[in-house]
Amino acid sequence: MSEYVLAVLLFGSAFALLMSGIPIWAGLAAISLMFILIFSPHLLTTVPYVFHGSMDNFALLAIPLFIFLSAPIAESRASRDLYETLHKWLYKIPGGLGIANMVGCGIFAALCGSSPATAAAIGGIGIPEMRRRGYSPALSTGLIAHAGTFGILIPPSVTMILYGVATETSIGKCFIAGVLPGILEILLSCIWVGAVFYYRKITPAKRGAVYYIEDRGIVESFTWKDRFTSLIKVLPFVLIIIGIMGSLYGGWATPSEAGGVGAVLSLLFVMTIYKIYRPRQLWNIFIKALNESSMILMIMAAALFFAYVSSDLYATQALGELVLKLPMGKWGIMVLINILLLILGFFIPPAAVILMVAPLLLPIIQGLGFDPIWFAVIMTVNLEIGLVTPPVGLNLYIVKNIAPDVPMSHVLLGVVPFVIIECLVIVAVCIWPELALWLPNKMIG
Amino acid sequence: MKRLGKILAWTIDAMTNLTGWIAALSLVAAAIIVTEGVIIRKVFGVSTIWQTEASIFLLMFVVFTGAPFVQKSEHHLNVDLVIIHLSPKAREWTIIVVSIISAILAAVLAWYAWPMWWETVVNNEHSESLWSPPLWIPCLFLPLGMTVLFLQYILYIRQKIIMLKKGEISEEAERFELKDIEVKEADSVPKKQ
Repeated sequence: MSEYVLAVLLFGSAFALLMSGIPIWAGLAAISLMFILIFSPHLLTTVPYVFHGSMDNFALLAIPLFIFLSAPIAESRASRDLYETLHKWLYKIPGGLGIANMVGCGIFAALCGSSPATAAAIGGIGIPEMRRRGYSPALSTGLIAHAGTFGILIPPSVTMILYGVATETSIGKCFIAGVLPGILEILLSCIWVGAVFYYRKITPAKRGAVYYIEDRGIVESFTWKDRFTSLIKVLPFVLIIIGIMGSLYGGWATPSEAGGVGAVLSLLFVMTIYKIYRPRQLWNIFIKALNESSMILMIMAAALFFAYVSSDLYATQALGELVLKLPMGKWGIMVLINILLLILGFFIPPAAVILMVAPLLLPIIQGLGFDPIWFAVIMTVNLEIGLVTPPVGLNLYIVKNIAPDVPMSHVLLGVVPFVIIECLVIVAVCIWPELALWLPNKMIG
Repeated sequence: MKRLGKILAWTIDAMTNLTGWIAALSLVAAAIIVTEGVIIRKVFGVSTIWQTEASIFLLMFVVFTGAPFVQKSEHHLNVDLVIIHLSPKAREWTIIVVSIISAILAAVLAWYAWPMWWETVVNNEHSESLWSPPLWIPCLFLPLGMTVLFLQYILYIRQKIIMLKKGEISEEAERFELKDIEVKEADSVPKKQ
């Protein structure tokens, strides 16, 4: 059997099995095991060593530690405080509430790393608040669904760690690479909200308009004292992010070390600031962190096993060569890869997509002369789009639950401009790779 | 016979909970050990000996031995795109079939992993570091975890079949990824002022 047929069989059957709703780790491992049984049974006894060895890696500790960092914060009322603080600081800017929501999601996502959790935490407060102040249903739900996805681009992001481990690139550099594109994305989104605000000031919305911000004449004012007192509760958590980014950028700590210290600090802060110290509450935090960590890392172990089998059967290499031979030039192949990622992102959660295809795509990317760290950003923004598009689009589901009276068609219409913005970010990063690479290249160590 | 089944089920659940709880504590311990290592190295400038290795062992425990507990609370991520659109009965059957596949997989992994562990015990292998801990400890986590996972799956499948026979199946499919996330329904239609 030729390698190409084998490659198609391997990836096709894995995809098909995953669609049955089997746990992702089990699906990947089961297919790999089957192919080993059929094509190279002599490798059977090495299987446990592959699994065991896949976790024998200090860099991987970053995943459970960053998850452990986020668990206490998700359990506390930090999202509400963050939201209120930002509102107090930004209310004077046109479209300030929308921007406060966006930035709130950005910061919370950095701390929490999970897209749906961010959308639920900030959206639960933000969506009713925005609608009360005259934001159209489509705009407010679309904004939250989109802003929730910042979590996988803005560091520290678990998705980036997975990419770094799967492709053996520096996790710290992947983190830092996400910073500028993330800021660009937030900036463009804020400009869109501001534009809607101004446009509607000149031409008031007609009946049935989708995007509008109605001026309800709600006047608020906060004193500087209000602003600074609200800052106190939020500041420790913002300092954790700044500390992590700073220590990675300065080369003082590896991601695992930064995650460990960050986790201990975030637990201590939540215990002191939000008075969460009853054993029952703490236990919930620990169990939540365990569930998430073991789940992701089992997928990681299975994906590495899958990559091992795929490489042993020469499927990875064959597919790579096949793609590199395509007569469409460097950028043609890049567009093709982007489309593939978009399609996969529609069906499969980001973590699983990265683990499955990153080892496969890496040789192609390098063969074409692209930078793997640059590609980390491209891939992540692609997967962000998958989170806000049907049929899986978890964030859509979350905002729909927060505001059940908004029809799905309106939520989708609200998301459309943001998807365009995400595509613009991809294009921008393609045209100016420095957006992703300038900061990591200046890193020390 | 029925009594024996009950005792078995209780034992499996107890094992799952025990390994799960230790795994949760291992995660906390790993965070503390890493932090301690950073403090020792960066603040006191003393080189660390055991911290890195110990935290990797804890990581292995969290992943492999924590897996049965994660399965018990149904937290292993899946692609639910297709199954949420199936009829409740078809969905339950699909879950049972994929659980059987997963159970077989766990059994195969356990079957080949125990000899790996036994080899480290017989040869009295130690890691090649200054600290040099015996390797049978980390090598135990994979076979132990997979064995308990296999047993837990058997329990889970049995439970599913019993429920299916009784006809007690939920109409609404649950989205796996949204289990822990509390989505509050807002006071939906905002009033106009």
